[in-house]
Amino acid sequence: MIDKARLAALFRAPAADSCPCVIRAVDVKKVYRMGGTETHALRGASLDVHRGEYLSLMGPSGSGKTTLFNAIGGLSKPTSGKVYIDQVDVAQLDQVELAWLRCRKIGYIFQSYHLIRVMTCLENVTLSMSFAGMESDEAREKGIFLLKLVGLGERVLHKPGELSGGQQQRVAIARALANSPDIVLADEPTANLDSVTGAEIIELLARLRDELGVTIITATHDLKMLKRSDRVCWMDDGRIEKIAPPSEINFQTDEFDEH
Amino acid sequence: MAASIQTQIRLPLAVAFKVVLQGFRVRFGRSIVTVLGVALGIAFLMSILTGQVIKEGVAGEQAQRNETTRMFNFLIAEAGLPRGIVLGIAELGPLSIVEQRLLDMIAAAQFQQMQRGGAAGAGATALLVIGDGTLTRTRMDVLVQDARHRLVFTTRTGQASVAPSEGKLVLLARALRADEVEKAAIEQRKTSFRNAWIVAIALFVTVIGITNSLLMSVTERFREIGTMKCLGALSRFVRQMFLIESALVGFVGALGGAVLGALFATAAYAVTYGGGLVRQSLDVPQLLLAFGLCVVVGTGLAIVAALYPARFASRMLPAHALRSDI
Repeated sequence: MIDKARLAALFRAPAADSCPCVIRAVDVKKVYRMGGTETHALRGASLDVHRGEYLSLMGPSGSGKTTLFNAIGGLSKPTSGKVYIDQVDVAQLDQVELAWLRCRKIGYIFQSYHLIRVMTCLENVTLSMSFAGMESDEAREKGIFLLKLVGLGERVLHKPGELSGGQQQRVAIARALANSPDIVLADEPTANLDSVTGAEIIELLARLRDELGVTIITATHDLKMLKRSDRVCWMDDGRIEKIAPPSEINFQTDEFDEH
Repeated sequence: MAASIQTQIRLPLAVAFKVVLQGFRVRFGRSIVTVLGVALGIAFLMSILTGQVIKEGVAGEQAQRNETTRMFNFLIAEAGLPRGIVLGIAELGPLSIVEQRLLDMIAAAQFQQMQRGGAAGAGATALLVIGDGTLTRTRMDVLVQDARHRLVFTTRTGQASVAPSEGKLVLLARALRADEVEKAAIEQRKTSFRNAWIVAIALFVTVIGITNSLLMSVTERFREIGTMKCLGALSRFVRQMFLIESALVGFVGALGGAVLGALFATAAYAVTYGGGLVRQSLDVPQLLLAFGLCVVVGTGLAIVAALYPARFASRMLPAHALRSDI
């Protein structure tokens, strides 16, 4: 099914010292064609993400955040330009290898949680473990561990519909961590939550970064989240305008007022 | 390091089944409607098949009854009234149903005397040769030797290769004439063609129904499918899940439909022909065969119906699937 040698060659243990970049995007462009009109969602974005970094993408809606986010996460292929994950060109990967990447390397967190509502919290967390071939007992144990880690040890067998938004997002975070990924991609994880719950989620993500060393990339409008991150990447009209630590960005300017 | 890379991505069948069954629980109402759709189509198929089995059974039963009566009447007409006949019966081998019934009829008719075995022929007015086998000339002569009238009835064409040296050989069996056989075959072809046409339409409608409801189900589950793909599910897993779902719907629907159709057809024909005749002539193995066929056809068609929706679902890009809720 998968050419083992090829995968092994592609993902040869990335030595942390030789390249600190876990993700590298080079001049990524994305054009959507709908009917006769072309929409340039990304007009050439380049970005290096360091291992263990907490990076926030921000910008007004339509600025290409989600498109860049999908490209980085291997969810869609850019029209041109390269995306390297662990020095592997994502465009080279076939469907099976992409699935492998999504299963093992990357954990996804979404604005509206995207939990599978017919499954319990534990089953949601263990599903990708079973895709990865983990034995069910082991997966169950790890799932319970992860749910405890995000503070939901008591809700293991509840269905997502029985939980609050914040709790559902915690389940989603536990699910993102299921296969111990290097990278967690969070698309506006606090947008559907009230500010207190949102702050808790932000703290949880920061804690996971500190404790587990995962690289976290979020697309967000949330000031609290921006301030908590290591670097902020400001996007506008399909381009990256500025990448800087939050201390160097003036959040009081007009462009932040609308959010 | 390379050795530690787990390259496998798989979907354990147990997990797939669990996901599908949970889906059924949540979407119980619509699943039931889909199952009913299959059940109706298959019930129709099963009622046609059951009807055929019953009709054939009843026709066979009636033909046997008629044949038995005809043979008996023929025998009386040749040999005389039962009270005056000493009937010697020579059994060559296993009896056919008609022969068995003929014997029963003879036993009920109170002949003057009935004798079997080696001395069947002693003092007999008439001899009846019966069963699967062939009489040798010598045995025929021994049988006939002590008989009063040398009158021998055979029930099958092959039983006596030659007539006895003295007396008369009468064949009770009657073969259908060629034109009769042909007429029956044409009638049979006409009926089965018409049935096949109606059944094909019914099943086609069923397939379209399943496809339609699965396509709806796919649209409804865009997000779920996208999520699974983000979690590393291969397109194949998504396809598998839809195929399993549809196969289960088809199987359950076909089971229900086959029972329903069999009951309905049996009841309908019991009213037409009378319950006793239907019960007596029912060919149970044939009926079970039809039942099995219905279950296989139902499940198979459900899988065929799911091919397009499953492909449609599995080809979806995760990014598109996730966006569909916004």
